[in-house]
Amino acid sequence: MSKNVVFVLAVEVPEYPWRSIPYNYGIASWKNWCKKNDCELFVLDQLIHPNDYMKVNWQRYYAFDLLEREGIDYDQILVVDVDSIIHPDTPNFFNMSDRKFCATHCDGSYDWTLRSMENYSKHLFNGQMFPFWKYINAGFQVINKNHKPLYKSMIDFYTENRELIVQMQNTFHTGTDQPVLNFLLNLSEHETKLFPYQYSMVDMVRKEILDEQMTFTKCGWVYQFNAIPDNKHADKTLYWMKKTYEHFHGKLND
Amino acid sequence: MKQNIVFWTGIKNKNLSTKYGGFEWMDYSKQSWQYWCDKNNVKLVTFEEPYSDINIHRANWQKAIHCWDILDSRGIAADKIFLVDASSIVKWDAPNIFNQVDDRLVAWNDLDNLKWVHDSIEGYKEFFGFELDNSKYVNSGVIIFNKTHRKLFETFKDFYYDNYEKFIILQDKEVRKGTEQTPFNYWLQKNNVELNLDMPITWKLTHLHRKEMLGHNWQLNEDNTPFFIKYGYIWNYSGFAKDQRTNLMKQTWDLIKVNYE
Repeated sequence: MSKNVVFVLAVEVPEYPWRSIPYNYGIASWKNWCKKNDCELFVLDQLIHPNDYMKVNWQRYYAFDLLEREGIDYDQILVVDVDSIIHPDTPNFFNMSDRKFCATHCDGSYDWTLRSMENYSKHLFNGQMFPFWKYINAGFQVINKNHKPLYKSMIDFYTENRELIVQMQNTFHTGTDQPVLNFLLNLSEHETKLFPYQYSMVDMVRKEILDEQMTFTKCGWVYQFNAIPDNKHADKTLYWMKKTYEHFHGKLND
Repeated sequence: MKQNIVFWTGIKNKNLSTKYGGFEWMDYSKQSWQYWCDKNNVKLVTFEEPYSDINIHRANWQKAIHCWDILDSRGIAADKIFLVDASSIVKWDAPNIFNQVDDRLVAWNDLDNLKWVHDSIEGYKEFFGFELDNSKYVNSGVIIFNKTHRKLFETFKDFYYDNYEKFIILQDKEVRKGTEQTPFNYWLQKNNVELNLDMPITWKLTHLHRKEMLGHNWQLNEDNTPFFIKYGYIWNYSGFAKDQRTNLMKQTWDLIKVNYE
């Protein structure tokens, strides 16, 4: 019988070894949630392409191929960033999907988002645009088999436009896969459903909840430890992910 | 004949003049709403004189609990009512929002300073004895409703006057996180009011600095229009130091006023 799957991308990139240190906390929290909600956890921990050919975030769009290659009988899939921790009591969001493409609006720095949209519109999408309030965070995507063509189109688009995409990434620093996903999704016929912010809580410093009182754990369900200032070697990501995991589950056993 | 109404609150309370750096900002707001209403065949109803003692019952409370009384006293039959306040400017070419909404109470999530929201919800929890769903917590400064919600507002008024001494203590001394907004959220949820939370945030751009919408795309550098003007419909000058409001709204107005002539 098919199961819902949580697909976590947790690859150590040789150029940035420190980034992967907090991953264990993210994986362990998702493992607990999956067990409680009868879901299967799939961790992608090997690069499919070298990072200098295709940045790691792009490689999540092989999710369908990887699950099928492993013989996993899946129904819906959550593709989620590994630098996240899920509250153990989070409702089963697969039951909220209406079998649409589900994500949360990216509610953080609109300077970054709007520059990203305008830059990619001009250089990659012939000036096409879509409403900015539909711009989603790619770090939390609920999908199903209907979205295989969308994921394939991401890989095809990358392959066909790799040189320009890499140039865009290196010039503007306004995202990797996320802006392209947003254009392909919003310029397509796919029905989307936006979950509340509480299901993918980005940019928590900006919202003044990433604090020692653990306020964020009382405000929502899935915590994305991104956009933390002064976090050069991900030391703050490690600090908060460890602290958050231990807040819910106690020490992590190796 | 029933009309769609913009109910605009802008009470110049002299006792708060220093706190707000004067009240010139209200004039920019009012001009923008007058223009938009005329253009869209919407009646602008302004609430500029307090309905009850402003030194006891704050303006935000009064707009929420007396809007129906004020409409009645002026003989206005409302279809849909869009409640806004004087800290907002509406864009000259914003479409007619009344054509885009259904009969549910329309509101927008308040996601700017979630610490403030959390503390406010916690602060009123014991008083209301209710577990609030914070994913449905809304900003009370911009809402749309209709006659089917009249009873909700009237019971809210009764509840306020039955308990206003306690509300004032919570508001001014114990919680110190807002005026009517969080009590209104409790009232909405306790009364199982069906909400329409699906309208784009273009209609409620609060905390413009926190959202980083005051600048433009400096990377393409083709258009110097600030993002909030380019992409927003209603700009709320909240989340700043209050005494800077005139300065900020004047800067905006000077940039765009030609469009309202």
